[in-house]
Amino acid sequence: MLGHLLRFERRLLLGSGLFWIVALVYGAIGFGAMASDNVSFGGGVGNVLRNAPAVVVTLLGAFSVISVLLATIFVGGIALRDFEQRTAELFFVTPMKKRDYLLGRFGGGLLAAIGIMLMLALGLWVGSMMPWLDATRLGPTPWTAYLWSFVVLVIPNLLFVSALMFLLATATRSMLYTYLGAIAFFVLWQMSDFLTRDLDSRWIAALVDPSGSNAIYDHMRYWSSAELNSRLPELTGLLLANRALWLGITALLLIGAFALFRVDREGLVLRRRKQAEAAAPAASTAARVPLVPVALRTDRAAQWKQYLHQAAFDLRGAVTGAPFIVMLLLGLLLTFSVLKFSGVMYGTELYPVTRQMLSTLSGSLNLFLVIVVTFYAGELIWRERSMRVSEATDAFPAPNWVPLAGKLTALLGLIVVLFAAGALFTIGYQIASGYTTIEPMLYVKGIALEIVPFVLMAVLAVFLQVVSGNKFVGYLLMIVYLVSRFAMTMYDFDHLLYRYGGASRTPYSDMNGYGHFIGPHLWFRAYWAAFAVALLALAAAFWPRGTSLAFRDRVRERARGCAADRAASCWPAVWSRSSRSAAGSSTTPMC
Amino acid sequence: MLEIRDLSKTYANGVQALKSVSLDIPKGMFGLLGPNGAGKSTLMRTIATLQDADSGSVHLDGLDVLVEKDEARRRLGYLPQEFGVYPKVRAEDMLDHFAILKGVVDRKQRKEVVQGLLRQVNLWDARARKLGGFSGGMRQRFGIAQALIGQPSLIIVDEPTAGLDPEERNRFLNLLAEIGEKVVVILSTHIVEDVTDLCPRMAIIAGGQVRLTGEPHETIRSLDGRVWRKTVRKQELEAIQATHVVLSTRLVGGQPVIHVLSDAYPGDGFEAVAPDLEDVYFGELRRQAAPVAAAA
Ligand SMILES: Nc1ncnc2c1ncn2[C@@H]1O[C@H](COP(=O)(O)OP(=O)(O)OP(=O)(O)O)[C@@H](O)[C@H]1O
Ligand SMILES: [Mg+2]
Repeated sequence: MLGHLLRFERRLLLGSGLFWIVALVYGAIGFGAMASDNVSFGGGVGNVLRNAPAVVVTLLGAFSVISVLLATIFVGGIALRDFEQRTAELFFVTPMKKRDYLLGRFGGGLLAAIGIMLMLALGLWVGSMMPWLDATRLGPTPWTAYLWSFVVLVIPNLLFVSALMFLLATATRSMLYTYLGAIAFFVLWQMSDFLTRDLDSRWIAALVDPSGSNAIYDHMRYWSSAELNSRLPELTGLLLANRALWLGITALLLIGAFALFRVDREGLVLRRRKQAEAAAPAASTAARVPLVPVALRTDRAAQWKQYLHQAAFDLRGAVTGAPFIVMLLLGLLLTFSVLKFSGVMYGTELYPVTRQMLSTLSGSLNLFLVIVVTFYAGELIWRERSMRVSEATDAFPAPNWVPLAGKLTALLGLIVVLFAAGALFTIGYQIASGYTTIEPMLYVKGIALEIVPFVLMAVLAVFLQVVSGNKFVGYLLMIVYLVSRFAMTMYDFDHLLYRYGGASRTPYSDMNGYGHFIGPHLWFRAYWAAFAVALLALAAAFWPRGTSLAFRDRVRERARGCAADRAASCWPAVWSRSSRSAAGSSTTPMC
Repeated sequence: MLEIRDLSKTYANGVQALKSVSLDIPKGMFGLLGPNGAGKSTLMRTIATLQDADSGSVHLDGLDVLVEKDEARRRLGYLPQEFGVYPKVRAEDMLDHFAILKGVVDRKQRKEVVQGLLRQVNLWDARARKLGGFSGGMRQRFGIAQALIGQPSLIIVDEPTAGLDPEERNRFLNLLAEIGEKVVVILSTHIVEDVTDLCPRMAIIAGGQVRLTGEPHETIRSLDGRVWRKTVRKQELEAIQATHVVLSTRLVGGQPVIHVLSDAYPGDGFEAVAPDLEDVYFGELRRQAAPVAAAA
């Protein structure tokens, strides 16, 4: 039975996009950590080989930090899946044992997390093969170190965080609370690490660290380079104590999850929750209220209110959803890693100046912004349909542009939230590093400039979703767009006037700001913004309404009202102006 | 007054769901009866401006519904047969959202409307709960509330009573009957008595065609003296079906009781019964695709 459940989980995972995306991201992180010259680690200086056993152990130990997220996504996600998708009742009426069910779900999540950490290890290994690395600083691949790290660090650590997330998920049955619990744990952990760092009694720090990194450090602190290049820490003393302690806690957490798990519908009900709401009154006693007469409005002002409301409604729905929170956390995590590991450039510590923070932020968030824009364009545009609300809402008198503009605005809201959270995070980082020249205006300007290309991308994604008439075709078109953009760069097709959303660079210097670069940059942006407006006009014209998504029907519908044409005509005007501007500026490709 | 003329619709998969449907629907409740797949939902969706017909027209008090969709939508209240909700949104917030999209933009007015509707459908006590935690019937009632926003003058409800308990069903039908005195209400249902009790007029649709339209009591009267009942043994059933027009077979205490349509006394053991709308309904379905019989 258990075997069957695990195979079922494996099939679901291998077919899920999230698994592969996360695997790819983690593989890339591993690769970057090993292959990038900007990153130097755990004594990877001087005589210590880049891929020394000690470096591998330290890296894999340190990456346990980001495995918290894995456990949250996969273990938490799987534990909650049956409740979210309403399959729980189907499972619980079968004679399956509770033990098998729980172990199956837990095991599935754990295996997913281990699989992804293997991808990370693979990334490390592939990274160490890269031709640009100094061959004299590479040793033979330390397979035993990889194996040792997995057995002693990675798997026990994953077990622990998975058990924690499993407990949180089964106890709360809420994705949001599980995520919040994960964040709380992460913060507590980093704080305890920070607080125990300077203690004289190092053993406390070594024991309270659930990742075991401190204990390892304690073992290796007096090793010579030769030892770092050849030895592995022994599983004795503090390290052994640490592992035993946290495995014991893991067992307790699992027992807790098992004990708290309920198969009934409501799950664990906290005592403080209000007891039984008053039963619905019998029909005869329910008040008969006359329906209030109202005037339905369709004027401009009313449409404007409808638009604002639609945007807020969709934004609220997306921001509180799990995928967005995951992307946000991943983005912040990457920002954090980059800040932490690349704070040293050529062996010199950098000041965390705002200019530096901004470039780190946009570099780290880039991938997640692309994912969020692509994913949520589909989610938002088809939200009504996938929830089967559209048959009701499509019969409402709100004009087509209201949902279109509302959803686009919600999408832009997501971009802004990502950047704003990132900026708050880096500001926190600056303050935590004792750097207090924050330059808030530079943050505002820098982020405003960084947001524009994603706004343009959001318009394109929305356009592709609307025109394709199918969420997955829309995703596919978007991926084709991203890949072809990359391919165009490879073949030197990089003129900014035909690269959608392209604009010249805006290097920032502390002395004269963006200088004369800003003018041409803005013209390029205006040019593509005008193009985006044309795309939006088309999207509005072909907005799917009613039960038929067939293009034929939408063309027919469009023949009825033509308001969109005027908007579509403003792009050529800006085109002529920008091409003049482009002639005078560099044609360096950008984004 | 809603006038439907020669409405035809063929889906992309080749199913002809509506075949030249014409109906005149006056103010008041109008019941649509028909077997699964008859085309009721297709007809209602077309009137609700959600899908285009291949040919034909729909006029509401002179307004061309299929062309002036925006104007039609302002007067329309529609409850689809399948109605989903956002599970994580509170009932109150969702209804508020719908009210805005419908055009009730004034905050104070909207609050009154939302409150009034939630009380009408008896969801007032559940207003702060997430829709995901609603039972099937509660969700249906929420859908009804949504359809009644802003006093529509054309109400289209597709199987609104499916999943409602008897008490809620009564409450809803009473509400609808009250509203229905002043506006056009089109109601599709599989509960034949609802139509008998509530609808001054009705139509039976089968295979995309209107088989019968008229007043329920008139059509029932047309069967007076022609419906016969008999309790039979199971083995006899087949033989009788071969020789008689059997309207319905129902088990009463484990024994099949059949209703038979016949102008003359069908003989041995049959007794005359007062016909009801169900007999009319089955009688229409048993007839081969015949020309429309206007009984009133
Ligand atoms: N979107 C569609 N695409 C193709 N065929 C459809 C579509 N919707 C309905 N049909 C077909 O059209 C016919 C009429 O369907 P409709 O939903 O109108 O029936 P109905 O009278 O509402 O039935 P029910 O009582 O089951 O709700 C059926 O044969 C159905 O299979
Ligand atoms: Mg139907």
